[in-house]
Amino acid sequence: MRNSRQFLVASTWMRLTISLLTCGHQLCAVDRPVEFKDSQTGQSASIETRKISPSISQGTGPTPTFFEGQWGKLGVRELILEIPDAHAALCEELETWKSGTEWKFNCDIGTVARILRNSGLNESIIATLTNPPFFQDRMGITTILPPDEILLDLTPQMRSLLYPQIGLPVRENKFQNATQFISGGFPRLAKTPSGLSKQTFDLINHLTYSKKGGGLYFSDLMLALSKAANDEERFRIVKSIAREISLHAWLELSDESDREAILSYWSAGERNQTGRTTLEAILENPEIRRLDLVHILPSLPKRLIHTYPAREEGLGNDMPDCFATAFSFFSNSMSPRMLDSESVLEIHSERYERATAPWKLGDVMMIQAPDGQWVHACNFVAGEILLTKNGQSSNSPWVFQTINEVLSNYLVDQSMQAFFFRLKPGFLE
Amino acid sequence: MKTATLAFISSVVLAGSAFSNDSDRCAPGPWGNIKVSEIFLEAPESVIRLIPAPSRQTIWRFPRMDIEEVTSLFNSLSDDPLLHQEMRREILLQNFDDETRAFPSTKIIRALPVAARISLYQVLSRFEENPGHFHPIIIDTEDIRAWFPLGRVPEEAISLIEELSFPLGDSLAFVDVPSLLPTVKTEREEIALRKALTRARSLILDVQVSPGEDFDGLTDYWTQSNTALSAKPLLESFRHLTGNFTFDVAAVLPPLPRKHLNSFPAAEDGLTGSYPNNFWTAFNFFKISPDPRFVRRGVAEDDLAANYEEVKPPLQFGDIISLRDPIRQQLLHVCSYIADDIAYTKNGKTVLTPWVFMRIKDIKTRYSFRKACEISYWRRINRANENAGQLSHQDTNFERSIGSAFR
Repeated sequence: MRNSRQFLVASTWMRLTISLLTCGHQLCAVDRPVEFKDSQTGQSASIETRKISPSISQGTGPTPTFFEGQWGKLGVRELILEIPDAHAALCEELETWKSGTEWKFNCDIGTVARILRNSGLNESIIATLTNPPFFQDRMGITTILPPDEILLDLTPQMRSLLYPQIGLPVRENKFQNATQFISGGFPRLAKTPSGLSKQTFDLINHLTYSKKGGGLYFSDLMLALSKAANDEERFRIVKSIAREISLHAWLELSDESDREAILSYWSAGERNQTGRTTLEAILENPEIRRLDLVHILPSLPKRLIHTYPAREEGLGNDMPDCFATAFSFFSNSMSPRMLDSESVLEIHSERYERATAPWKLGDVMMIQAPDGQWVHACNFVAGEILLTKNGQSSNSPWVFQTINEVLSNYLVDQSMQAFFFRLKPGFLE
Repeated sequence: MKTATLAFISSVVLAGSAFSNDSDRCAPGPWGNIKVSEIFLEAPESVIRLIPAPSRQTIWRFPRMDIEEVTSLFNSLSDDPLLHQEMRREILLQNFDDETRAFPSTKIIRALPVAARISLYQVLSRFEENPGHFHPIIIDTEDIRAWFPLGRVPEEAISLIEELSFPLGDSLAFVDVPSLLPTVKTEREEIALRKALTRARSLILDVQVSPGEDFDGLTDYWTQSNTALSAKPLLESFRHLTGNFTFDVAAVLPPLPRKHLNSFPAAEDGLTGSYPNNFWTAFNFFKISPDPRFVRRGVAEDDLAANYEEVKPPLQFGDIISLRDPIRQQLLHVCSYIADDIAYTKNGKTVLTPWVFMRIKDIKTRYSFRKACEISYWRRINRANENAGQLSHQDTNFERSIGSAFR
């Protein structure tokens, strides 16, 4: 935790209050700035200041960053993963982009005009959009085919107000369920060569918008694809916007390393037998000074890290999500039951309890929406590093990310909260 | 009737703390510049405790041999009449319907000349009923004293191993574990000794990348030209790291071998009725989910004949290396090629043998104990089939939404 300052950058901070509860720590996203309060006394506890920005880069950068603690000396270096070509090739928009952007509303044209007005569009544009040829009634579905120039002229604020009201709340709806960029937005994702022209890069940036509370979003894939120079660039767009940040992580070992403490931490009691076996062997060899973290993770995360889900890992179209991953951390393999979200939450309530700092290997950080729904879960690994799968999609790989990275991506509503949980004694998983 | 349970040493490999420095780098190749570090794995104590404590009484089983044949065999081991007399006194023979069992004292085992013991043990090694002989402990060094973790194995035990081990290729072999057990005094010491006896050497392989290196070539090698796809996103992300950097071969293995590398089987691995063996390991190398049928030699043989073609070096990542009995033309062992002279292997089906990276010559030594074996190399004819679990263009009913649903 003490290293969190390495990630702090000045900007419009989201405020994060961490309250000490009798049974553990509670992290709450509130409106800026940051301090910690004891829930019993209301006094600032000054345990930790964690500032989260949804809009600018907080990455560890290209040079290694180190976190020292009971886990040893953990080095990390930022990586940017791209979805495999076979995944990108399945993107439906690569086939349909010529049909252009469609806004579909499940309401009459009068209501649509009101939505457009409330989103900040002027009367002239509203008149254009709500009349033929840009307005069509397709079997009762109010459909608007916005011309490119109007789409391009929308401000980020207009997009943020309008897009959540387009279409039905289904996963495929890129307006209600937009692509969320990581903190730092598309420039951070595209900082390694993306194969995109400057115009395309600028266009995607231009089309990026934020929502109330933060988060950077992108919905206009059809428009971006239509402006690309050729099919190759269209393919590169798909691969680039689906990029994911991860960390190359390793332990640095030296003569001064407290090998017993390191072994104890990574053994996680009896829960990480695989990691312990390997680490015992590695610590015996004084010549090994650097050890990829993959060797000492428990079996399942060892298998999953930095891969994308394969078809066989799902049940039909249901792929492993964050919950299935987080609650299988110490398991030898992922139980099919884990793909049933209700079962996962039963497991959570039965087997886990609120954790107290310092966080331990495998602790589960969970993020809760204001309505009480759990929206994300991931595992603490060491230092500031979490193992996370950001979404159920087969296009979401299992990655290492910093706590701040995950918080900045998920605490997009002021009243969302994050909690740490730990397996109760006696449970191996 | 005493039943000497030697299961705990079957298929185990002794290794030690003698970390070699003379070969700490692979020869350069398409796999890159690989630094090699040795580690020595020991089965977890919890697993050791699962195995019934073995008897301190050695048992030699001679299936389909009667007492006369066994006595004749003993007599053929030496021309020394005094030794014959000693053997008659120190070896209890019992006749069963279909085999003869011998119960020698440690005294007579120690009295047998090395050549006699090797001859005798080669006979015993033909029968799986003698698991310690069938899969002897192999010590890949001549320095036994440096082989064990300092202070964890009693001096008396190390001396006895030095005395009773015998040469096998460039290595040493040891089978007389029951004779070793009286050297420890407490249960804790015995567990520590049994744990040490499971030591298996493995390798940590670090690919060291310098600026300007042919990263396309490296990616091509470790993904086998896009047929082993799981590691490609990670490898592609390495491409953009600046300066010198290192990546671990473990990180770019396909998911299944990566999961198992440097680990011992978990209880769950045996739920299908048998624990993974060498066939299971090699034939499932690229698979997302293991096909449990590959534990059977016959299934492996059939798959090799139907879906692989024999190739000559240079080998490619994931090629199957087979060791075959030249007389019976039966597969003795298979493993997966990694790079240079290194393979990924599981030497035996018990819970006491881990999945390791190992030098091919050491694997060959293990399986040449009974007789010389033929080595050959195999490549899957259509590797695309092995990636059945990977997403393909045919998966129209799959995830077609890119970048949506961040959470």
